[in-house]
Amino acid sequence: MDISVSRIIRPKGMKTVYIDVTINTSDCRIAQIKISGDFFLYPPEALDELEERLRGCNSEDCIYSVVDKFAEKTTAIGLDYNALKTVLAEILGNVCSR
Amino acid sequence: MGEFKIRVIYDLAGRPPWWQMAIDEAILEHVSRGYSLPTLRFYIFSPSSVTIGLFQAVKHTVRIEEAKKRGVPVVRRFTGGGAVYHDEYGELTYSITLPVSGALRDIEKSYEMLCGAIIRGLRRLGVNAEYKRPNDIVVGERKVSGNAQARRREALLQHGTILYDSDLDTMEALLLVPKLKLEHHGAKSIRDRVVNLSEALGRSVDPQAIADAITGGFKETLRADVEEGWYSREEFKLARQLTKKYLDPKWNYKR
Repeated sequence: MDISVSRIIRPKGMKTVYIDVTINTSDCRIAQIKISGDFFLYPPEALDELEERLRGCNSEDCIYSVVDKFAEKTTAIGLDYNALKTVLAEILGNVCSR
Repeated sequence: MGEFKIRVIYDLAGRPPWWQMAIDEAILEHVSRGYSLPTLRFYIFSPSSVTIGLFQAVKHTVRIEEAKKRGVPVVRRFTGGGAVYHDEYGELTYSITLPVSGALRDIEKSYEMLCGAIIRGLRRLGVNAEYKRPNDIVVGERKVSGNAQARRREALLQHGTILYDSDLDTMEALLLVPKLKLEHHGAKSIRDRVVNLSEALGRSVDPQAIADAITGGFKETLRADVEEGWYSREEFKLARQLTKKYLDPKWNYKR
């Protein structure tokens, strides 16, 4: 079964970020994810790559590792990587502990 | 004499959003390859349009049925940032395209520097505008200009809005702004969050006067000479090709 969860985050001084994620509960993996918002990201094509790499993640470690690697090679304005990975891990944890 | 020359294009007749994005992207491509001079451009969207940021989802940002009902096209920009309502009779857009060197290499500093040129221009008109990190220009606490930047090779393009007499009711009817964002700015509605130059000045102001003042702001900030010009044939040709992208629902509804 797939469960879809949407969250909006806006840490202080940051932009508004929407996280629309679908978790496949049979193996607790991120099946689909869209990250959107009014932030700035350089290079811009990196966001598609981040979403691609997050698909299939089934643990907090995987989410943290993917986001940390992404943060190293991009410049973001208004997108808080710490908030992003924390919220994603929380969503995965909540869905998979049901 | 300035340190370098900037071509200024006053294209105020009004053109559709797919064309405006296409010609901005074509200019960035040409400046980034050294084919065109650094360029400052002023333009108006006709018909009134909504543009959304490169990373935004249409469903989270635009009341799309309302936009369709009112005949307002919605186009995704090639720059980040938020959704904008471009009122044909109340909003002027500028774009500045420059080779990247010196202070412009740092993205955040470059926003501050280029927004500083807009602020200088607005102050020439008598508006006490201020920079608000990372990409806004405000009068008091209210936004009069939002700005967004793209980079390609060793060049950048920054474009932004100047609200001078926008219909804020229509803006509120078309744009979805989450409560969280409004609260962040201490506002209850879009109307609390934005301001037109006409209100800030207490008088009407026309787009050419704004463009002239902002041109002065860029001359001063960049220590540049300006030369009025027009698009090159090659820029037009590339823009015609790029127009297809900005008309394509796959691009506009990508997120």
